[in-house]
Amino acid sequence: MKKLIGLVLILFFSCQKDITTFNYVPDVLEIPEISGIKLESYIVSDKVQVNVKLPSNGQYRIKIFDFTNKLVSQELINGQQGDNILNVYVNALPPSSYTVSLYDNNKLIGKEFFTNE
Amino acid sequence: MKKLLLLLLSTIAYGQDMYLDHSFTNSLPINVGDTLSIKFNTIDNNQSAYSFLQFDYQYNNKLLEKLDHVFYTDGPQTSLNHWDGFSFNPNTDISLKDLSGQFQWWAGGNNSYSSSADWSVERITLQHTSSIPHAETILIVRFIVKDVANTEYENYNNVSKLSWARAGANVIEAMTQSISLDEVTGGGAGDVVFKLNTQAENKSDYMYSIELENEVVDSGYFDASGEAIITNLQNDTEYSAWAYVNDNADWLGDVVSLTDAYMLFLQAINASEDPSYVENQVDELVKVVYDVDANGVIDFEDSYSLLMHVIGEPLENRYITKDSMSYNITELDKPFKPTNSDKTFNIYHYLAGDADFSHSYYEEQKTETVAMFSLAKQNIIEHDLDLTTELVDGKVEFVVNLDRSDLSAIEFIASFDNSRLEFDKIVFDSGDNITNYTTVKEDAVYFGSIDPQAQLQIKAGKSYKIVFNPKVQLTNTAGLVYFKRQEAVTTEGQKINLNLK
Repeated sequence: MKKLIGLVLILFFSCQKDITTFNYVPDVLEIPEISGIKLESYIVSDKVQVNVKLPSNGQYRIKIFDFTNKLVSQELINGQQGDNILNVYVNALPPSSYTVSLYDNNKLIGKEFFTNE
Repeated sequence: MKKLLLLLLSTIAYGQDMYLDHSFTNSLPINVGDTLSIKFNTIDNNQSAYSFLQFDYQYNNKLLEKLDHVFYTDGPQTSLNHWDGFSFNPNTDISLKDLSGQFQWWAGGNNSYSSSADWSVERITLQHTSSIPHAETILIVRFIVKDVANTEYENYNNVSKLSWARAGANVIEAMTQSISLDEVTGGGAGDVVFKLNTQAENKSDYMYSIELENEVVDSGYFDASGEAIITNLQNDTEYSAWAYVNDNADWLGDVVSLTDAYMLFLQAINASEDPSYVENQVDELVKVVYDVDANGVIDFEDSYSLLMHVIGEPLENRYITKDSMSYNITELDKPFKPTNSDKTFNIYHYLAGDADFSHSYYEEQKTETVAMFSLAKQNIIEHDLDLTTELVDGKVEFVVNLDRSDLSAIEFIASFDNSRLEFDKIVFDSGDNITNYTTVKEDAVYFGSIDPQAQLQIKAGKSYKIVFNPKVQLTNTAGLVYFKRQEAVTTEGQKINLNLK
């Protein structure tokens, strides 16, 4: 019986993966709203995973601001609707506190704060 | 008529028989810490004679500290009584010099003495069986002169005062009723205010050093407002004073930018039309700011040196402020010599190579008289600029979208994560004949354009594209490129701060 249940589960997940682009979202990166941005950790070294949840497919901007609110890094992404598990790389950023924000054109969708150690 | 009679009687009554003198014997100037000797003696005015003398005087114990006293009379009995914390309340209807009159006032039972912590009263009594001679020293009282800086007083006026005197029926007038020390030098200067003058914002990154005969007597930081209060200096001593930026200040690398280089090119162009122009008209101190190769003149060598610094290929032996290295130039508004009346000093600070005075002191009048440097300081215009990174066909592209067409110089410094990226190439689309530059460092790219002749403009649009090869598999580019500096100058020399949007 246990083997049967396991087989059913494997088939279920396999089918799910085939039906849509499966993007595993760790609990810590889950975003309940329709869109937003969430970091895996707020204290960062080297890189940190980020979930960029988009309301629709399209081009968006990930902006990183320093503590004076000056833009210091900006990426153009072509994202898919829903969760997009990406990275924020921090090696090039001087140790400090930053804000990472998600923009649809000039509209702010969400933001998170992190400290680069 | 009655008033006239009273005045006449008063004048007659005031006709003095003798004087009581009270004066210091030191030569001038007197220094803080010196021993001050005050002697007392009588002077005859009307063939007077006396065998008994008693008088009160008081001294300011905040300004004078009594050491001792010695009577110099030969024969008379002498006595000195001392009270701390009292001061004589004279009869203000008569002269303070009228010591006999003040004695009558005191003897009349008036409230002649009241508490006063700053004063000490001494009462001197001499009594002899025969006449005591005039014009001979009766008593010398010695004091240490204290530092006025540690008191609430501003000077040494009226430090000792005769209060009253009596000598039988003689009418006594004070020869010198009060003693003032007009020339007291030295001593602690108290709070000396040292003011830093610069356009740099981070004034708490500046330090000062106060030196005397090449020995540092005090040093420290200015506060956020650019002031330092120095408490351990001596009055009437001339010090050397310096201000300098702590080399750990994280903004030193921002001091000299493309704007400075461009401005020096403009100055050099002007100078080449009349070689004596710069040399003769620039303030000597300002010249040091510009003359980064220290050859005595401001010319293309200086602007070229600044440009090489900006593009990340600095020449050797150049006086250009940079990361972890400040070349400080200072000027005082007057000799740094605190006195009792002068305890505030200004220091003007400049950084070598800071041609646009962005982090140096700037005096409007100074450059108004020197027309060629009218561009040196101006209001900075802010302008938005679009800089982005993007993953394109497996490579990371860093693109500058320029939407101004009046720029003759532009500068970028971009740091990148060299653990994940490797510089591949830069694509310029900045216009014909404009001079482009790229310097690739271990983890940064310096790039931009300039027209040293100040005639051409940089083409708008996607003027610059840097391509990086990823060293590792990347999901995206966020944070891989850090926009460290972006600055531009119009053909006319207007500095533009490029704000990323």
